[in-house]
Amino acid sequence: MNVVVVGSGASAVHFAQTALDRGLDVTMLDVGRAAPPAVRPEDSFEKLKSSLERPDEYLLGRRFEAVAPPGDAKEYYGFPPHKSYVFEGVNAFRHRSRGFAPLLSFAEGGLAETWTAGAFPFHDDEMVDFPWERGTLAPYYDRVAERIGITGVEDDLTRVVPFHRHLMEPLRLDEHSRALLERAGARRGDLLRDAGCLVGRSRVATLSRPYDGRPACTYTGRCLLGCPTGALYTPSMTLARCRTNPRFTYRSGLLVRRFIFDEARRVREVVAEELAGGGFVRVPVDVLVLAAGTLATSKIVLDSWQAATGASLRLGGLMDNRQVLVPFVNLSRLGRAHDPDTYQYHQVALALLDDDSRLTTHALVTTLKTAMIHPIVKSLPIDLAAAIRIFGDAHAALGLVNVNFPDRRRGDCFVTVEPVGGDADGAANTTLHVTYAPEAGEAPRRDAVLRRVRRALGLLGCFVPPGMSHVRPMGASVHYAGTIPMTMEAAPWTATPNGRCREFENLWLADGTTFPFLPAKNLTLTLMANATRIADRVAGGER
Amino acid sequence: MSSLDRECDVFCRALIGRPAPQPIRDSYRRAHEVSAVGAPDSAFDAWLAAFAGRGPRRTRLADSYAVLFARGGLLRRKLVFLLAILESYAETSRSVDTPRSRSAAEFFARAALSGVAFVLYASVAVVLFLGPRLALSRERPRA
Repeated sequence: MNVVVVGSGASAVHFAQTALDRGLDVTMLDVGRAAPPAVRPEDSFEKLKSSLERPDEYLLGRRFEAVAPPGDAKEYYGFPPHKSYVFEGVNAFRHRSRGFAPLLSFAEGGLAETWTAGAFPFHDDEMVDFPWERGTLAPYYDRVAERIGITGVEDDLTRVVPFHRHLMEPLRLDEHSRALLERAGARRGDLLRDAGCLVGRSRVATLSRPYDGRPACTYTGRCLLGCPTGALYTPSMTLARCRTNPRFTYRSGLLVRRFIFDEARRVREVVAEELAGGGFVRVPVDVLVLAAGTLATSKIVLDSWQAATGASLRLGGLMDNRQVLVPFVNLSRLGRAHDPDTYQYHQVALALLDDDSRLTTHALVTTLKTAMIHPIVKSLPIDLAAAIRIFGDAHAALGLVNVNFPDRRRGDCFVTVEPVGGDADGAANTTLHVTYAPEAGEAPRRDAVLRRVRRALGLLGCFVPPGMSHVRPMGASVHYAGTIPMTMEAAPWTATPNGRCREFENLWLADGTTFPFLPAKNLTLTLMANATRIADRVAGGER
Repeated sequence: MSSLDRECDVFCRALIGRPAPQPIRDSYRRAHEVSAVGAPDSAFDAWLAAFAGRGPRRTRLADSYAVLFARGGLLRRKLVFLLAILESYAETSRSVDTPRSRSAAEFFARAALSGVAFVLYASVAVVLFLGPRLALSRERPRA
């Protein structure tokens, strides 16, 4: 059986690895922009500023594209130049959005090459809309954790972040995170009573000891620039492993445009554009697995239908997590020096409980160490020289809470395609149109949660400067899901509980396209676990 | 020394109290050469940046005005680009990121003094720049 997988992100590589483990032949079609080599991996973040001849070019970009210019935008961090390849677009993939600011990746490993390694399994209560029994995904979380290495502890958050096997001992805490957790321990009762808040350690896919040929984190403080040692897991590592398997074929430089199916709705072949030469190739398939991310997967499905029937389909239910960034100042840490030789991503997490446990809000707390300071300094309402001095005193006290909100499928959030002429090997080129509208009543519900976040931070001895919270545009969290949902009952443009698209005999959807609900958690670990589960089903001949 | 080098030096003195080392000046010049900093938005915008470049005190005066009334203007862009460059080089990064206070009380005291100084500078700037702003309001920036 020839299994063709489209994409190389978190879902695709774990599907592929599992399929290979089960003895299947796998061909992966991918654009596959490659990462640049790591720069001086032995140097710490601070050392790079003296060891590099042009540290400004490395940190800010050749054209200073990573500088956050002054203005009204309140994004407190951006992507470093070394990771710009992750977001390099493809001309042939046209898209327009309304109410949505999508990020797309055509890189080896996909968008998760820039993730913050948060690995939070969904609780069974959060998967009550998923068409499977409680506990279905548990063994797959175990399997993925064994593959990639996840650190964490059993603590108060285990109530909403299930414990799974193969958890490693946690990373060394930075001083600020340690102070927050100690304070949380002392105020545990108050946090729960006054803010409905649980506080605990983040689960992160970063190694605390050597594992599977990868080194442990060496605390160089370069996480935000891209881990130079491989301690922080990214999907390209699993892709590299797949490429050592003789039954795996990786074909990069290809943008899959559509698939062709027969009258029995059986997919026969895939049409892909060769980005280097501009021609097209056709790849025969026995089983087609789309795992290119919800937007790209949806576009392939829409383009395929458009080319075959002439009809423009609308796939509703697009979801994404709203995120709000809440900067804070830990008063007990004012005037201290910060230690740059620490793990840079979140080590503390919060859960704001809801009566409906599906709607529990999750937040990640990042204490600022080696992030570039100018995006924050420039936003202070004072002259820059004074802002620099104030920031220097406050740096070790600063942190950022990234609050995630859940989302549900709604008909007014959808994707469709519009033909725009030209010839893509016998079919029209198209533009993907993404439309998103927030749920009615989102703003007051969000504000109510943010008041609880501020209350929780207050109980932790932290002050939230007024007016500096930033509601990120929809699309910024890159947790896209829901356009062809898994359902128990058959319905048009749905997927079976095993991820097979019901409209076609041999088409599986292994990414977030099939999620029927989006809890307020980083979904990457669940994408990997679900893709692993689907691969098991495909290998077992289940539909 | 080119005019951009002189400007970089002045701004560096204003921001961190010392002249700009050569690598900083080189990087500042590069940022302008690749048009990252951009052009002035108006004749007054250009005038404000030129005024600021004549000395560190003028920089502070002009920036106190710009942070309130021209947040995205040329002067702020130049200063923010310079700050980004300063924090990228080992030689200067400590100057932009070192604590001076040793307690929360000292922090608040220093911050309050900075706030008072800012208000004074901004007040003087509003009066001082009213004339040039009115005079230049109808002019386009010179190339």
